[in-house]
Amino acid sequence: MANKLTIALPKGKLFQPSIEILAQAGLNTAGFSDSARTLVFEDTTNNTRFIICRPTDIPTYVEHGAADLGIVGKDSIIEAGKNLYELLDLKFGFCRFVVAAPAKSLDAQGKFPWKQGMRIATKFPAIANEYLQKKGMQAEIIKLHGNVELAPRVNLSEVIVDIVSTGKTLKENDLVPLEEIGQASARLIVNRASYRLKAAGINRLVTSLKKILLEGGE
Amino acid sequence: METEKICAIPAGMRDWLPEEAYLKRDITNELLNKIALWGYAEIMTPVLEYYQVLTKVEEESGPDHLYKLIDRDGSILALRPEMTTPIARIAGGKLQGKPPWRLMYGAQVFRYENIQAGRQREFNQVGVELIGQKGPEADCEVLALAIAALKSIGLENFTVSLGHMGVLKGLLESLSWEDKDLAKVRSLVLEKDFVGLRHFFEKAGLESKRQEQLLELLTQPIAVSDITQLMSGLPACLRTALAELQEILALLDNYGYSSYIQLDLSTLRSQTYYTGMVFEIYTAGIGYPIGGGGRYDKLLRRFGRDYPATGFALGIERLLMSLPKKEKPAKPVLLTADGLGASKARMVEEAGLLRINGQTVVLEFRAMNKAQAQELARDKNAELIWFSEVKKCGE
Repeated sequence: MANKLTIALPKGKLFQPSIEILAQAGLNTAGFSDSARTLVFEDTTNNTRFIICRPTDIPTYVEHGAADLGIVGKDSIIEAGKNLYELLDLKFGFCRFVVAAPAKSLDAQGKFPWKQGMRIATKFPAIANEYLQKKGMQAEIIKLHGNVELAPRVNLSEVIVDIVSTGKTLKENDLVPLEEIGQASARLIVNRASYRLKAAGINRLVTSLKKILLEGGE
Repeated sequence: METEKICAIPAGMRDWLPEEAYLKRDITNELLNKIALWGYAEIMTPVLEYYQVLTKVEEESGPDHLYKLIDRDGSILALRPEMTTPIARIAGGKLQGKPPWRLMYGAQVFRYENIQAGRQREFNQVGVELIGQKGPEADCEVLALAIAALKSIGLENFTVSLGHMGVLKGLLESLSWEDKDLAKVRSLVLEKDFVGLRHFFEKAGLESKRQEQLLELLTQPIAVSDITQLMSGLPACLRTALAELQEILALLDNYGYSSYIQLDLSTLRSQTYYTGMVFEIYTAGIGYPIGGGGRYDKLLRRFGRDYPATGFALGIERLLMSLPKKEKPAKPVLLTADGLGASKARMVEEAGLLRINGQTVVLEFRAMNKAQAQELARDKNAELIWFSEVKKCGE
């Protein structure tokens, strides 16, 4: 029990690549699924337990030590604002944070007419706020839980801050990216106490993941 | 609105009800008693200090985490966020005799920051400061004392993560970058954002071999026996720091405490006043350190007397979360009578005898029949002694 590792895996689009890279690192992830009812899987040979959670909850599980390690997008880490150790960039699940506005709102030069006091719809209020601070602008941030691209169409907001991987959703909703404000990819995070108390097991996993990333990357 | 607030307390504050308060008091006393056996004398300072005193110690002026208020004469006051600075202020003028001074405290401190696991905005610390003594002997003493104190309250499964400020300082100096960038590197190491650190190195155009070397040094686990070998390839400043750690660890071996130590050169504390060895203590199940400390040789000079110093603080609330459940206070005795002639003097005498032997006694003069007395005893979880007329009857 004492040295058993618990790893939190994200449901959704990061799930498949997560279990693939862990399988490459020698863990037994056969039969794992994020759509089954089971939320806990065991790999008894490697003394490891996996729990499957919503991506936005993973920082919380790891912060409190309910999981020693977690795989989660940088976007969720920033938004959670938790004190977590970020060990590795796993180099999948790439996406960009962009500010986007309806194509028809651009002026003749293709510029967006920024005005003070505009409304920004987003799933990522912390990131949107940081962007505004940096720009020295004031705007009202409207927090949504999904389908942010809808907001400008129904006049809920003038602009949006959202995460984009291919840009298809933006295009389909006649939105154009104005500015990229950051990038995100999947990260391996660790609980601060586990990082010390289970150092041996964690270092073993990190070393083999590093090796996989290096070989895959070249 | 007003009526709702009458029973509420501000965010980040909490009440301690009898059983919780008992455990907190108990653990605080146990720690202080243990520490006192090492020759440390208790010191107390005011909860309110001048804002300038508390901010005198931080090099950069960022947003602080102080609770502030304005005194009636217009000066800014703040609630102390830790005890090291107030004690440094005292060492600057009021301490009698010659160094070294061994001081300890158990006190509540206040930080206006996000509420974390096991830490509200008001929390309690037990700690020590060893003032006026340089060198690995003093650092070893403080480390050994922290470990001994934790063991004495029954904590076994913990790790002391030990580093040295000289390591990061040496690394930063070797980069010869602008202060702004160095501060960024420092905060990335403090947050253990190794991905961010790598990105930052890449953006700054640091050659990849150097990147690897730096990240390796900060992230690789280091065995004590590796230190000598590790030192050979490093700049002088880093070598000095590592040699110091080696000396501290050799001394600590005399206590047999080496197994609690884990060398981690990325160990940093959020306070910027540390200059030498630094450490953080971790235990299973809590994602934050339960204590930490280190050497701060340049803090006291800001208060007028240039003494080196070293110390630690333990977070009481976090310790309470990590300790195995302790037994509750011993059952009290409820001493009461039916009021049909039992002499009050006789009851007082009986209570006095029991109290001499350390038994907690609740003495109820008001008359109660046996059923009432039994019910009260059940509710207060007490042993009942009930007098009927003059005779003493057990339950």
